Amino acid sequence: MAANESNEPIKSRLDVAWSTQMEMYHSVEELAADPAAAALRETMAGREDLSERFDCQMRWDAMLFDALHDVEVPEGLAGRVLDRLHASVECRAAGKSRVGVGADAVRRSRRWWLVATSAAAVVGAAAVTLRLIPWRTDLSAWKVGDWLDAMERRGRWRAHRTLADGTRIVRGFPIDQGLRLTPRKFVRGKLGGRPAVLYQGATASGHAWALAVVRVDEPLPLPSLPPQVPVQASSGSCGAAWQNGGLVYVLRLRGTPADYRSLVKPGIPLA
Amino acid sequence: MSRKRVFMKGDRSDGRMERCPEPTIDQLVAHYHGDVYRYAFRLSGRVQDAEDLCQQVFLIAQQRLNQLRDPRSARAWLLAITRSQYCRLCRRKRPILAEDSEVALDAIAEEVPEEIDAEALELALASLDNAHRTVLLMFYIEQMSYRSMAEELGVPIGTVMSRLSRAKARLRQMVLSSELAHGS
Repeated sequence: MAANESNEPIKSRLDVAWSTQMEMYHSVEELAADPAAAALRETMAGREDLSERFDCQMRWDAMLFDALHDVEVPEGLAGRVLDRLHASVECRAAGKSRVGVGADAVRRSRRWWLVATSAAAVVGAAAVTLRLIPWRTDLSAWKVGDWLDAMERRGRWRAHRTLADGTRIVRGFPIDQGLRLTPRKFVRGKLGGRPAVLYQGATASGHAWALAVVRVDEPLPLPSLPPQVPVQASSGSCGAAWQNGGLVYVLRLRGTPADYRSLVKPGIPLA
Repeated sequence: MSRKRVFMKGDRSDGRMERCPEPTIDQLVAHYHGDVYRYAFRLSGRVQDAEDLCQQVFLIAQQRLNQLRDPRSARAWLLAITRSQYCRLCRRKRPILAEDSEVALDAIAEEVPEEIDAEALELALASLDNAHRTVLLMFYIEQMSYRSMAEELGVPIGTVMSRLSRAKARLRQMVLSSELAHGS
């Protein structure tokens, strides 16, 4: 009797251990299939109370299983999930295209930032240098730089066509006769609401240039011929602006003033 | 050992994707959004959090769809993503409590209620810390074995056994208390 009493705590602990182990199984089959449960199965076979406990646990589990799955799914959830998934796909697609175009755009943008700022500066400098009356049409207000940038990104560049006589022009926007330029490509657009063409090319020595030709009928306070000396020069680039007939030209060259002069035909008066 | 199995729905695979050898994300959403939402709701305890989590799970599933090798395990795969996302969110908010809760292993109540009060169940789940609640839901909703749980959570089998048995005891205790309170 005394021995039985002293074994009670051990038995109690063992029962807790058996109970704990029983809780791990979803079903009798699972319990039967687990090699680690051999001792438990053997004990259960000889102990009705443990078997009853397992039965009871299974009933509880069944109730809790049902209760835990009894959750009302919000109406339209699947649609909202799909909407977001599709939106995400579109975003990624847009993102990829932004990245793909972006790298190029960044490179071009950097290149053209210089072109744009220089061109704008050229126009501004021309006004200051020539100390002329305020422009009736303010070129700087056209945001030449922004335009060049946008044209570079969005413009549909075309290869410059060659006429039968070897002249390269875009109808209505000829390159000034006083320049030695051979464009590689051009893009049409509008600058300040006015029709314009942007030409791109490079000199024989590899200096990139850009020439904006803008249709402006009213006379602006600009030289009427390409200046032999660039109006504006900064580190690595130089440029000038002038108006010839109904066209305003803004030229920007990556190069020195000497390179610039090589583009202007001799005999043209100095600005 | 002649008892029939009571609640387990067989193995963790299901037949919903048998006819879809390469299921699309739309098919997964159509078939499993309910399962994912239910699990998310039980984990988080909030409708809005559950819906957000559900959205997130399918976004991840969409990105990792090529990792789903057996369409029959789609449900288990999605539920595992649900759990891991929830745990990740919890880690951001506060660390998961891993110590054993103060739940005594009681003698199991022989009287099983005919119905479980939903509110009492939610309160009981909310009263568990994340570690215990997660193990409990892995057992009931993901229907994982204790070995798989241990592997998945990276804890010893003994820890899983301890957490699961305590969590179940706690749940039964609270549900029963609520039943008794309503009964009186």
